[in-house]
Amino acid sequence: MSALPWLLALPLAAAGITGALVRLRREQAAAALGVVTSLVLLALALVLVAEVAPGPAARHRLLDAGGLALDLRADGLAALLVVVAAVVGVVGAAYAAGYRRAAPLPGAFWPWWLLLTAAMNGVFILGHLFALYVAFELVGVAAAALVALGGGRALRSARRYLVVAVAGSLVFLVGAALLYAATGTLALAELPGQAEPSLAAGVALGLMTLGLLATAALFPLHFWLPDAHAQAPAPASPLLSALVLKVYFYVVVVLWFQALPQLVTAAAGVVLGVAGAAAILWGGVAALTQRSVKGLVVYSTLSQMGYLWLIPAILAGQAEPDPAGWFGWHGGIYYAITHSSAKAAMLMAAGALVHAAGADRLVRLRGAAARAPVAVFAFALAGVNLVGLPPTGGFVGKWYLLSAAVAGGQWWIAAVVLAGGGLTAAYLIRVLRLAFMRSEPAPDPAAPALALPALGLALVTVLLGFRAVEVLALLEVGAPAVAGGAT
Amino acid sequence: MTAEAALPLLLLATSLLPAVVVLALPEHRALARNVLTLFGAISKVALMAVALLGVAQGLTFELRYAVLPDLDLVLRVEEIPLLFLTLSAVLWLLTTVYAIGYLRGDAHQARFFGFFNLSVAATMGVGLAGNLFTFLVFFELLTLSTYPLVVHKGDTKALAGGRAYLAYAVAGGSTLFLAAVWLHVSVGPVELVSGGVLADHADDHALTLRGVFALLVAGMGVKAALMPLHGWLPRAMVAPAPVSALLHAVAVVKAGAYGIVRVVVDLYGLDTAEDLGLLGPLAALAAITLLLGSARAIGADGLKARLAYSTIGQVALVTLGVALGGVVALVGGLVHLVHQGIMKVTLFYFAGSVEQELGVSRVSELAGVGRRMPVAMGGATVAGLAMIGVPPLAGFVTKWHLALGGAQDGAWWAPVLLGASTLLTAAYVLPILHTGWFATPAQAWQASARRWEAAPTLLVPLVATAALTLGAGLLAGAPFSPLSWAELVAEAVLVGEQGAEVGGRP
Repeated sequence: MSALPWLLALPLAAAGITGALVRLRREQAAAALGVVTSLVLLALALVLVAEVAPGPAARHRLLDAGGLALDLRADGLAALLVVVAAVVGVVGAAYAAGYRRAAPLPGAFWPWWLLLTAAMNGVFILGHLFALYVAFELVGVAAAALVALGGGRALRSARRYLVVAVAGSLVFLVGAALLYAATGTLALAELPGQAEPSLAAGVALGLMTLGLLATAALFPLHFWLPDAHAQAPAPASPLLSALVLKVYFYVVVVLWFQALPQLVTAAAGVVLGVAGAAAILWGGVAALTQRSVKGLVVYSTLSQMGYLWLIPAILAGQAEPDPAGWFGWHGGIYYAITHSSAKAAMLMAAGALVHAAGADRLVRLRGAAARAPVAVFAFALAGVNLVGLPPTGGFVGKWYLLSAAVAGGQWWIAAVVLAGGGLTAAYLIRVLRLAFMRSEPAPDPAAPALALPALGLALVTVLLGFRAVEVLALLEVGAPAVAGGAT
Repeated sequence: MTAEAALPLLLLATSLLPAVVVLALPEHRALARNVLTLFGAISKVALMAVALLGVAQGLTFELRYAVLPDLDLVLRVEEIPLLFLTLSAVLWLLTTVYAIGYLRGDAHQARFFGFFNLSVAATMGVGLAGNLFTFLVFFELLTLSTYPLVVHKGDTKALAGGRAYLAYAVAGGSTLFLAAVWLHVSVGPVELVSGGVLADHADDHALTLRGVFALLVAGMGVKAALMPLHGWLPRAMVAPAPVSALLHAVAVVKAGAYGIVRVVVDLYGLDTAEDLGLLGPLAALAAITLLLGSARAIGADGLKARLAYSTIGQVALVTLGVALGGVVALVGGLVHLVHQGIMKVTLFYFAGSVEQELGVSRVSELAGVGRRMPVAMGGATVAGLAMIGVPPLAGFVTKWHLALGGAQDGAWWAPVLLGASTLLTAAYVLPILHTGWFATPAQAWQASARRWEAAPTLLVPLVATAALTLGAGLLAGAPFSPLSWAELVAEAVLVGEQGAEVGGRP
């Protein structure tokens, strides 16, 4: 019995039940159910890994009626992302449960959050482009709803987010329709053999990519992101910044390198890579000028997401396995998963610090290292991961990204990777400088219920820095040919 | 796990575990904190004794652990690492005692001693690194774990110093990072082995190896404060005295110099580096740093600032030793790894003691200190004279080997350079000693000061390192003296290189 269908069914059912519980004003019960569900999802995700790890990719026929066949599938990458989402989900649920005691959190958080989890799992494991479209339409709606829970100014940001998400999905849908016209199928498993390089197919892929990039907030399509992520309630922003953005990245990677590699040209890859490089630098500089803690972290997200878009510049247009492709694929994905836990940890720590300081202003962090040492330590450790320094997984990711740049002779990528690390270090120093000031009055101590989950996730990134072998082995299952995969 | 693999792990664990526990302990548990830290430091010295005896008998202690499919974390006890590790273990123990006394009554001690222990762990890792990847990992960890120590005082100056420190260190780390990746991609996984391992690649990858070397030296040169990459060091001396002591003598600056030694001797190999034309520029860089650093020290009135500039010059002697390319000079450079450490730590102990006891932080205010604190002043005098190179103290042993080695290898300018550096060193050390012993104080020392000398926890480490400075010079010929160990190492390097010429060591 595959774990695949349960990864969708369980959070969907839990979303419905918590929705009913919140209606009945049983918010305590809703929170408890949310935490339990996330724990079970983690167990399911680990079952999925056990299923996939020996290879080949897992497959489950969900429905086969009226000529429509819908598969669930998971290769190493999908399984890994499901696990990452589950880990962040468990810690995020603990954080949200703790946050309820410290500050008001609308009960509607839980159903939307569980719906978002289900939708993200759907994107990772659905094997059909139309089903994918439905899934990330749901991701957009649920994510925008979570932003709106922030109330006040957040409502406007949420509306803008929703508009972008819907528009992006529609562009994607048009592309998918064109692709169907050109190839006669939208099943991911059938596409590699079906799509001949043609103008129509190329345009289709281009449109789908464009739709995804807008919702992924790749520079210069990021205009909507900073407000939305900064104004979301503290328990929601870790999920939004750490996971939701990667959903779209994942779909682009699947389309470009697994489903339709024959349509991708090196030039297109470089375009994405340059946009990614611009995001790294621009986001880093913008983070340096922020006055609020969450603003700083959100711009740092923009910056670090740029690293992922360097992967297409390394891989695109190559059909044969080569070292640069292997390094680029594994380094980029590894960076993505460590970024997920580090960024979630950083936002949770930021939430704890902001809560202790009483206002989201950087200057209020003065002296925080003395009164809220755990939160500051978690923030710093997550920051170290983002800079790409040992002993964290970010270092491993950057090691491979740099290796890819050097092996492929693309020195500009090496320069951007290092410059981005320098910028990250610079805004990390801003925070640390304030935190280590000895000042009176110091901010209140941060609530342990908020600081400890952040520390836990930060320690996960340290774990990823000391043991990458198993994770990289899992990625081999179903890896694209250019990265040395068998398919 | 075998006993051979356990030793490197224990060397790390004796500071890593105390670090974690101390960070978790509440602030008021001072006794538990101090006992744990000292217990770790003492066990580490005991472990080092085991390692020394073991390696002298030909044992290899190695721990290997796969982080990536094609890269291992390698911790190995070898000849050159032993010099560095023994120095670190001994000075950390003394500095721990000193720091406990120095920080008594200060706030945030749990944080301080937690990161203090963590930086020992990082230093041990740097020392034990068996390949460039491992070195890089711990080198960066060293930066991160020392930052909270540098900014410990939490005032504007300390925070500015910390910012400069991190900015330089992160830039240097990135350079090193790129170099390590470049080398790995070009020639595959290589380890640090006595005599060097890159001889076989020198012909195919000459240009790459030169580029990598430049990046490596630049990256490590930031920590080693090679000019013009030294800007952070004088600013970082706002740290508490025990921190400056360890930054200058063992951990950060020394780690940079140690890294350059290992790159030249254990990665490239002296002959290969010479053939690639890398040693000449390195020697020039070291020579310039030696002269300019010493010259800058003369004008500095702040005692710690003067010591900081002095460190820049003194550590360049280590680099000079490997850059001259001969075995005798190599002995001088290696032995100075130890000598510079014990001399400089003594002087920083002294600076911290007078600051803590008398509130004196400038050279011009030292008048009368010799009468008030004769033992501390005596220790500083031994270290100061040794640094100038007065025989038979430790610094003389170093300079003798450097000058002799240079002259033997045709670097006629080496004795001249060392003569000039000796004069410059005298010019900034002697005023300290003269003012301290002979000048009359402007006013009597406050009557409220109860003690005649500095507190015992400050004084005992100072006397101990001064005695080591004396012993390292007087007993240079004895077995297990720094000099005889350095000679042993140089011999091993020579054997390694000859082995490499006939087909490479396994």
